Amino acid sequence: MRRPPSPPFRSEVRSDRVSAVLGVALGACFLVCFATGLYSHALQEPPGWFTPFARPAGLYRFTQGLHVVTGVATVPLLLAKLWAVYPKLFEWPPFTSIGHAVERLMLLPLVGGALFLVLSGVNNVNISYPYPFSFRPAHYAAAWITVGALVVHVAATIRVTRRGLRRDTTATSVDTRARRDFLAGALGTGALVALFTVGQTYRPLRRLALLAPRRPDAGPQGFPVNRTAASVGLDHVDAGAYRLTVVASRGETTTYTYDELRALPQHEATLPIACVEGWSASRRWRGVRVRDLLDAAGAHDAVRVQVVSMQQNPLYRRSELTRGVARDPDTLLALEVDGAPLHPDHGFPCRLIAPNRPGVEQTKWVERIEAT
Amino acid sequence: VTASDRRHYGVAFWIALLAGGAIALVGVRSFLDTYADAARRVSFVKWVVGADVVHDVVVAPFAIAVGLLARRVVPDRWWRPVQSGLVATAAVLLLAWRPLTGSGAWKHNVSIQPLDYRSATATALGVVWSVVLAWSALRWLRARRAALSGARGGVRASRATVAPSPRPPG
Repeated sequence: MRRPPSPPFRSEVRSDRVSAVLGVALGACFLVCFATGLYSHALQEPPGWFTPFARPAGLYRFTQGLHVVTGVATVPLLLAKLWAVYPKLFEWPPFTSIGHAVERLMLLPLVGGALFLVLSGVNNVNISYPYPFSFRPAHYAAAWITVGALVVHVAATIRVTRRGLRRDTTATSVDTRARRDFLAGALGTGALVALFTVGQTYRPLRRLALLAPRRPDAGPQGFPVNRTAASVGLDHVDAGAYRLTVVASRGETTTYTYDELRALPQHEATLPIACVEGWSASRRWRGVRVRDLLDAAGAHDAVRVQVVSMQQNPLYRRSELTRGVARDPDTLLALEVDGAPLHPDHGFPCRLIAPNRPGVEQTKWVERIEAT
Repeated sequence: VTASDRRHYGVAFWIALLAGGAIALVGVRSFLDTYADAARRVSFVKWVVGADVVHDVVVAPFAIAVGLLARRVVPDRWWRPVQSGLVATAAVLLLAWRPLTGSGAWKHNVSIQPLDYRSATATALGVVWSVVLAWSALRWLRARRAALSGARGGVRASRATVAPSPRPPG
């Protein structure tokens, strides 16, 4: 038998119904974040069975924007859920069967993992890393651990959740109304903080982006950057001394000066820079098609294309294009944005811009294209 | 405790444990593959377990203490909107904490945290508490209307019971 709850926990709001509704809402948020997160991870580290594709051009912008906004909405839902179930922490005896013990043990990776995902996510969008490990592998590992624990939790609580979702005919009208108000508050807060964030990717709502660390209209040339030219020592690149080298599969090289690149046929594409931090900005780019450069170098049959930056920092110095993305007509080596040469922070003299691609893979300060 | 409250751990639960354990192991293995050094592995465990412990030992008791205190001060009729306002305030402050303290800002990058986050956070909290105020006013109007119809002795008098009554704290 359980001990009767102590007086501070005697709230009419704490009930199976509140726990069930918040649990379903949180579960939906976790699944959205997990699916969109796996997609983002696969684009950055493609497994053998997955080939990144170019269309629809704005897919990554949508999935990653959704990932971050849903993660933000999770914050109040998680706080409310943990508040609602907190008395269960002091359940006595601590377990009544082996199954019960296993269920309770799995709460540690579930709750710890969920809190870590939210905390590390909020830190990452603010470019803050207070731990000795990198964000991405840790966030990725915590996501699998949390979802694994969630599967066990759902199996253990599905009966009580189903019962909680049914109308409770035994509750008084006052209790029912109190629970409805609490749920409205928690779900409404989730919607409100999402509204205060979504403007970082959905431009019409940018003025409401009060809690987002980015605005799609703030930054050099009117949109954000992650890695600045100064941080990699490339804020004064001499266009006269610049050379782009294209290496074909058999090792032949073709070299272009900045002026020679400008003299090649130029193409325009309106594409978003969509970052893993959930912000995005759509701009009008102008430059040389990557496929034209490959064809000119005799690499029209290239299966993979590596784009290499002048930056010395090895993190995101190099990115890979699949054949489909490399040959897309909108995949450009951009020399201009919105009718002006690129700002150093946006990759002057030239940068890669391709459809449906994480921002960190849109390599800046490009000096080399290698076809294999 | 009724019989229906007792949890059942049938075959489905143990299958789910195997499936969930396998999913969780994907995460454990990917971290171990990425980091071979013990320091980073231990740090990761500390952050995950620590997040849970800090919540249970510090954050939750603090939230309950704030709730108890507020419950004593706030009139019954205002309590539910105020409670939601407190949850929303906690969520807003948690999300604004990094920009507010400037701890994530990069020196060279003007596009990170481009706003004055003190006024941005104040505006967000202003919206939250305006909603709380409007919600409270709506509740007051409804209760007043219900009380008036009750005083007239109409058949809808029983609806007055929806007005909040004094509740124990929590």
